[in-house]
Amino acid sequence: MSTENIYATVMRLVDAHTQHEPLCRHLDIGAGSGRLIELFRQKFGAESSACDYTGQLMKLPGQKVDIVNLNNEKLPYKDASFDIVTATEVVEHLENHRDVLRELHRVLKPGGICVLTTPNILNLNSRLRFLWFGYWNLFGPLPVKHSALYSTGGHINPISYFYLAHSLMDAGFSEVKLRVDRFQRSALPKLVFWYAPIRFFGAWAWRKEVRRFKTIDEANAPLVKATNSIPMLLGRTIVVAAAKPKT
Amino acid sequence: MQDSSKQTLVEFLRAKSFSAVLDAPAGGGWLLAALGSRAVVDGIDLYASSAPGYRRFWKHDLDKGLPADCGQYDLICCCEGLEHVGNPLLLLREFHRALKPDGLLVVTTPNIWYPQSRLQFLFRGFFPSFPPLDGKVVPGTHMHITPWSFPQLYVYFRLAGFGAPKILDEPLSRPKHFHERLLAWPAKIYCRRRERKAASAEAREFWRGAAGNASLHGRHLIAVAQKSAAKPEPSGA
Repeated sequence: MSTENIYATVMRLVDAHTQHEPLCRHLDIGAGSGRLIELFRQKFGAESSACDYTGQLMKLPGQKVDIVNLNNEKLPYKDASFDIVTATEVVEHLENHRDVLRELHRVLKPGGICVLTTPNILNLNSRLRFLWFGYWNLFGPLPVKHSALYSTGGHINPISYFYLAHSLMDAGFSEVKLRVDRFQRSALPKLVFWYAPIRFFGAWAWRKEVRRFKTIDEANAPLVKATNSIPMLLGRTIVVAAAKPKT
Repeated sequence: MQDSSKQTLVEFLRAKSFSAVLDAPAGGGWLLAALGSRAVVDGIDLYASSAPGYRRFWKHDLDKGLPADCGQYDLICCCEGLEHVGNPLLLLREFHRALKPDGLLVVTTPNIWYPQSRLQFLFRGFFPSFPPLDGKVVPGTHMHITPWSFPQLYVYFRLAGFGAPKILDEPLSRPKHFHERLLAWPAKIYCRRRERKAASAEAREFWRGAAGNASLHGRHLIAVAQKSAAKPEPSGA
């Protein structure tokens, strides 16, 4: 579920983008109550379209919601319709986020950006929970009989930053940027203990990937480096922006 | 796919009867060779357009489901394929569609739950067999993009309409060292406790499977599920 911290981080990324690119039309996927649209209206005066699996959550008077099941339907918009597309806390609910990212790429204008957020499964709390129990924070265990699986509580698709960035680049995006919404205070004491071993073994694995397996190149090196960075180890939610190239 | 997993699977299939088999992805065709003349085998692969010995063969991307003219099968084997696709639920639903009633689906995939894998994730943020292969999607590279554990497989199998999957034990499922037992111990205790508190027989069965050696220690998961009579759950948003 999106929080004010997540929205604030999204707004900062969009604000930086609008310094050099126009923002007229905005699409919010998984619009929910419409809080992000409200913020866009206040700050940028943008015209926003809302898209969600239901219109019942929308609280903004007069805001139309386009009902779309992203698991088996395409976005009901023409190519190159929007300057910015946002999808906060959406991709973890999707069966096929890669296909949805291709749709985002299609409806964005060249030079536009998409901003996505999802729970960070690479933070220390999540890594340690996975080590001991096999589950990441906010990802299960899912109920065995899951009529609730597709409700807003159904996180069926855990994606780490690397694979989210990979999906974005695979869909045609570039200039992937990472932010986190806030640091988890509960992870700070753990960082004191675990940071040195993580950096040491991370560096050892990096060396092996570069020398023996040759799996790290210019394109993926920044993504791999970010995996063990302090924001990644402490961040609660990752906020990722990527641009649709102009040419 | 490691040899011990192949042997375990062949042993398992020896006791089953089937006449039509789909091998997707076919890879080097080891399954066809192992089955011999027991059944007619159709194959699908991303890179090859034909292979000797198969009745029919498609060059096809499994990320888009199965070929439209695919037949009906008693057995579908998806060996080391599910970790390569971005839309695994679509593929599993297509397998469900292409199976005859009471047909069997076998999926093998790297397991992310075994102790070394959990440790690697803690220290590196990557699983073994999931290297950072950005921009290197070429034939022969192992572009694994979707990691699987027993619970994740369970949820996806059930969503696609299959019965509860069973994980086959294989020689490499057994812990070899004390530290492996030690690292898996909290998860084992956790799963056992959930099993004791489970409200239904299905949930109990799930947690028993999650606490098993194949789930907690196996390098590979060999999951077997039957096509159940119940309709698959509809996909939602």
